[in-house]
Amino acid sequence: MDDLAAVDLTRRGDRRGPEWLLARYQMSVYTLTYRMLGNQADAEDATQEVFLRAFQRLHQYRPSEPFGGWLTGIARHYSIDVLRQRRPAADLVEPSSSVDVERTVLDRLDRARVQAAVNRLPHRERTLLVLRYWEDQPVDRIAHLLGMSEGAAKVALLRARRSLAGILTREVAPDAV
Amino acid sequence: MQCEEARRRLRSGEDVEAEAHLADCATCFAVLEAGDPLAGVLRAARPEVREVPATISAGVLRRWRAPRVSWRLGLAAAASLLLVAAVLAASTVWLAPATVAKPLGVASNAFDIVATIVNGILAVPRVLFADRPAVIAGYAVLVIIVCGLWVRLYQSIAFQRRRVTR
Repeated sequence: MDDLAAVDLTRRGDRRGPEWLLARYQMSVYTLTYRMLGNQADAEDATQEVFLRAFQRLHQYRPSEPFGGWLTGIARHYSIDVLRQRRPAADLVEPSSSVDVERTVLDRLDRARVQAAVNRLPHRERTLLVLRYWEDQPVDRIAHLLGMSEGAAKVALLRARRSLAGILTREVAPDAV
Repeated sequence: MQCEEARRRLRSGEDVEAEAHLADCATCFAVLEAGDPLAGVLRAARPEVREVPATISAGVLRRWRAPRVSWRLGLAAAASLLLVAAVLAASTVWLAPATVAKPLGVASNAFDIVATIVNGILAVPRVLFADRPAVIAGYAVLVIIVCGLWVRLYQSIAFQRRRVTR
């Protein structure tokens, strides 16, 4: 079976269609939503919602485009909507005055600590960094997704890195602040 | 502002002027990003998922409902087809045959066919309500709604055919 056959079965109400599409794409959708939303419970809910929305909107899918790309587009938009609806982070992040983090600070970082620091950022900055560095999206695409100009997205990315640098520096080397 | 100066100022802290330069300068953005070790640290910290919770697939399949073409939509589309057929028949056969530019059978190209159909559809109100443009406009809106119903119905059932003819 291929994507189009599975889409066709889904449209005709044959359960084999959604089963096949889930088996093929749930990992990529779940990974994307997990990165975007930052926790397993939200990612699970979001992944289910993304698939259900996709199945409801199959009449909008054009067979000439890859199904995976269409689906991850829905997932990206849905995750951004979820982040917009979340309450703003309670603690304001004091950005670092410089974009450069001390080398000694970077050397003491592990993945979990960086991920935790990213999760502490305000939602907009977090979304920018996730799309750029974890989802490898080009700046113009990020700007489009977040409804800003490309120039504004470049500046916002720089500021988001500064904010992250501020968090990491305070956590890892509080004396350096 | 020159690129070197903008980069120097951006590396050392916030600077509105330098940020305005950055917004318009792809080179400065790329250089600053490439030279920022934090960008590499971020990429290396990208969360990887090794296993997807089994509840996702089960949850989607439990909530998924097989799509059906709405009987209301089908009924509305069928009724609209009857309406259009009646109007065409009335306008071309009984009421105002002279208003139809050419019969369908001798239409020479697609444009002629469309023009003939449009003439036929509008013939009835043109003849009966010539002095009441609001009625003609209302009738035109009704025709547009009827077309919209058919497009919607087509969208809901046409995927299979699109796939075959692709």
